[in-house]
Amino acid sequence: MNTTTRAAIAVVCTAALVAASVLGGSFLGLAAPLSGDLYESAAPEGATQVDSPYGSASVWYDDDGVPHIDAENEEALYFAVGYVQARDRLFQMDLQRRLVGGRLSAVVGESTLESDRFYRSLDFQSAAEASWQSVRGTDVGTPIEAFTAGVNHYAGTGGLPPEYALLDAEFEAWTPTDTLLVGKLISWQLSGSFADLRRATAVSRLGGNATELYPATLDHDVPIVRDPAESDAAPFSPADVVENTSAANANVGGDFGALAEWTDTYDKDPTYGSNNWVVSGEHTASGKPLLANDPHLALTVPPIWYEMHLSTDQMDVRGVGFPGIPMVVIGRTADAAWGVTNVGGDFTDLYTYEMRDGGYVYEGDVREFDTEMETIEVADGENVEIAVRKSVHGPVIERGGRTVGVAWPGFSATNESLGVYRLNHADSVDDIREALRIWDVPAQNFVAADRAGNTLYYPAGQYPIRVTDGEVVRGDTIFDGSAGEGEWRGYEPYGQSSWDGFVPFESIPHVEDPDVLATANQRTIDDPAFYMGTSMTYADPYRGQRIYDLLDDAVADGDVTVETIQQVQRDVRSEAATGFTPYATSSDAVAQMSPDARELTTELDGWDGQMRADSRAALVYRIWVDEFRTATFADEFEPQGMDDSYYPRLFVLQQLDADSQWYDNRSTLERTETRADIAAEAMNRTAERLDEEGWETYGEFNTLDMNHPFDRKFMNYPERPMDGSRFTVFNFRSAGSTQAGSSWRMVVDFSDEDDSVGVVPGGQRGVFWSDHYHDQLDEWADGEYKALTLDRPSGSPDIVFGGGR
Amino acid sequence: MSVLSEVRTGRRAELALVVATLVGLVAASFHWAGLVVGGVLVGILATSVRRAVVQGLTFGGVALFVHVARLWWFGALDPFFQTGLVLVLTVGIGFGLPTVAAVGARAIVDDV
Repeated sequence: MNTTTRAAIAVVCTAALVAASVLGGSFLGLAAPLSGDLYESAAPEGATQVDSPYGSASVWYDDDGVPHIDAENEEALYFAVGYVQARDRLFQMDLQRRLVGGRLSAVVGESTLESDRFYRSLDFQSAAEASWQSVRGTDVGTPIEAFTAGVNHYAGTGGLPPEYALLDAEFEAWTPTDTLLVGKLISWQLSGSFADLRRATAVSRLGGNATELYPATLDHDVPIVRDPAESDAAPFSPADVVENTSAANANVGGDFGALAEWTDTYDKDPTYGSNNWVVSGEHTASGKPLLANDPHLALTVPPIWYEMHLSTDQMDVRGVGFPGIPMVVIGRTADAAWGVTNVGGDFTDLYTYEMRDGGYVYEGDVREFDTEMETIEVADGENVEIAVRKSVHGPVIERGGRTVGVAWPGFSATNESLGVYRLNHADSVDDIREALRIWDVPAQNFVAADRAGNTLYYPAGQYPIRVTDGEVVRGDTIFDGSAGEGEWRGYEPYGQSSWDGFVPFESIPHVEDPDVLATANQRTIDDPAFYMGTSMTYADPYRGQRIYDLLDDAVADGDVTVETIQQVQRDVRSEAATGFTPYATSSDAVAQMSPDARELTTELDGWDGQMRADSRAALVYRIWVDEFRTATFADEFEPQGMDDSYYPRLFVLQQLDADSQWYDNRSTLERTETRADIAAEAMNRTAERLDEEGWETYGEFNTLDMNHPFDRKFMNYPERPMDGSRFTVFNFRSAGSTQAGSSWRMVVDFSDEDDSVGVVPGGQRGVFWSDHYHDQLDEWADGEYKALTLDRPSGSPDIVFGGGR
Repeated sequence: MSVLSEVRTGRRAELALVVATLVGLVAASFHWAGLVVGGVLVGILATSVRRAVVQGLTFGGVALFVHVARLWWFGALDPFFQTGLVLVLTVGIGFGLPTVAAVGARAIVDDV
């Protein structure tokens, strides 16, 4: 080879290496064999000895990747909790605080700019800071600080999760406020609601008749407290809180469509819901109470919950918490257990203003909005400046020329972290009740039981009393904020609320020592002494109905066992399906169907509403009810620019008269359609859709398809067909990109330690290299469980924290 | 015979190649540029430019083998094979960088 050729080869090779380095340096750094940043996290986290400034603690990981942490004191315990949560879920923790803090775009880019605008506008950061100022001097302050130190110790010494390499981002130090920010996010997702915007807009665009679609109360007879006489609430009249009362209901009407459209993405997800119930020892084979809970939330990768077992000389608790929060949120101690579902109440109010001179009118005076300019950092884009405005009611948001102030208890300093801390130390139902005394947001239906046999139902939280001109009013409306309507007394957004004008704890409807009590987000009680919520905030009654039916049957059949409880959690019969199917199979409807559609209805003959993956009938029903709802409402809503987020509850549709005006198709002027006509039309569409999609069984539609936020195949969970629906006790629903359902299933039995069980949909570690990335997924999907005992693994600990104060 | 020729073709040629490979692997475990270093070293030891291609590919293969073995040891092999484009990128980098570096080095360093 001559010199010229060699020189040419050398130049080409050098140029290629330089080009690869300059143009593809980030890819080389990411994926190069042996040194790629992506592979750093593949190595098992090696640190078995960790310096801790708080004292000694030991961590044993069990076969499911659940950390069992035993410490000499609480500070050492929570330092270790911070360390292991960061080890297993650091990126998820970071993503959550960035989401609610409005700082996602700094690492993700422009695609999350609208999300950041929303969360910045509501200024959850300041609300979390107010909460930290409120709790830092309490029992939970030091644990949060120790947890924070543990997170940062891991982030500074352990390997970062692979997502940081893929995003080319760095982890910023965790702060105590971040822990409370995560709490604000969960609280907002469970109780923040802009339903009033949607209803006002629908009524404005469709006319007054639309109010029947959003009734004050769903017409069913299975509230949580079935007999109002069971409630042990102290007598209460809103007059105790304000000067006098009336049923007066102020109402600012109008079209808030642009605001409703913008906020819909960040609103309380209507598909969220949960189940819990308690059966007292009176009805169990062991004579000890049984408690069950499965909160239905978004099914995420990694799971929304992180399981832990935490012990010191003073406490012993096991259950699940949210990554970023050091305590167990749902679980059991040695002698007590508790579970939660969301109270489907109304905890958000909206206020319009008369604008004047650049400010707003409030009770006769012109006030300036409290305004701060903030910068949203955007990765690979231009930073964006936004004005964050606040009124006396809270944050102010504006779209489409409409401006509203938003009041939500969570904008105030709140105590949920202290409440959870106290729950973790509970030895009895009495302790749990005391812990709930300070619970503010989100309002939750607590069921509790203890080893001594006591049980409890308490929907704890701060329930606002709305006052206009000294009169108590309902909250299912938009208030004239300038006129001082719908005021919440004792509420201080971004400050310390006194809660003086809220419902006293003892007056919240609750039941001491219930024998059988179940909650599924339905109405709390009939005719409460104060306004609690509406049909738009409470869930449809289907799950509540089914759970009560099953528990009543079980009690009637004899003593209830832990197997009975697990069977109830696995139940897939849909009361919605059994209610709607007769509409689809009525002779009037079938007579109008196409031959293919008529054949489909035969699948529903004798079907008992079991939403099983291998069922053809379940598939036919599920698609049909979707089409039935659309065929009923789309002709009214779509021309007015309203999508299905404006549609009423499914139970409202089920209750409509057969000749309701909503069944009439507005595009067919020559005839007036009835329910049977729409049912036939929906079945015709169902036949076409099944033909187009090629689905044969329900599981082909109802598919588990949980994706990592990056949606890379290797980071997503395996897909599989699933039983269950939104309205079944065994809860799972797939609709479009939505994957939601039981995010944790738990049964606690105090008669036999080995009988307490739990399972998460996925795995404990959020690092896709790990064996515990989704090792519980099949167990969860099959309705199986793993032990939830207070025994820790034998042998040497996996991590030992040492050092001293 | 020059020193380099001796190292390339002498009785210690294979030992030199092993040492070059080990040095390259150690460097590659710290930074991707280590793959280039390894490629350069094995390239310089090649008896021809054609041979440099073979030795560059061989070094890359050894680096990838060690990488896969390491992942197997960590219990992370299954996820690795599911990474799709990342897998392709890793294999491409593993073979590409050392080979190009080896050929370029051998073309420059003919004999001394």
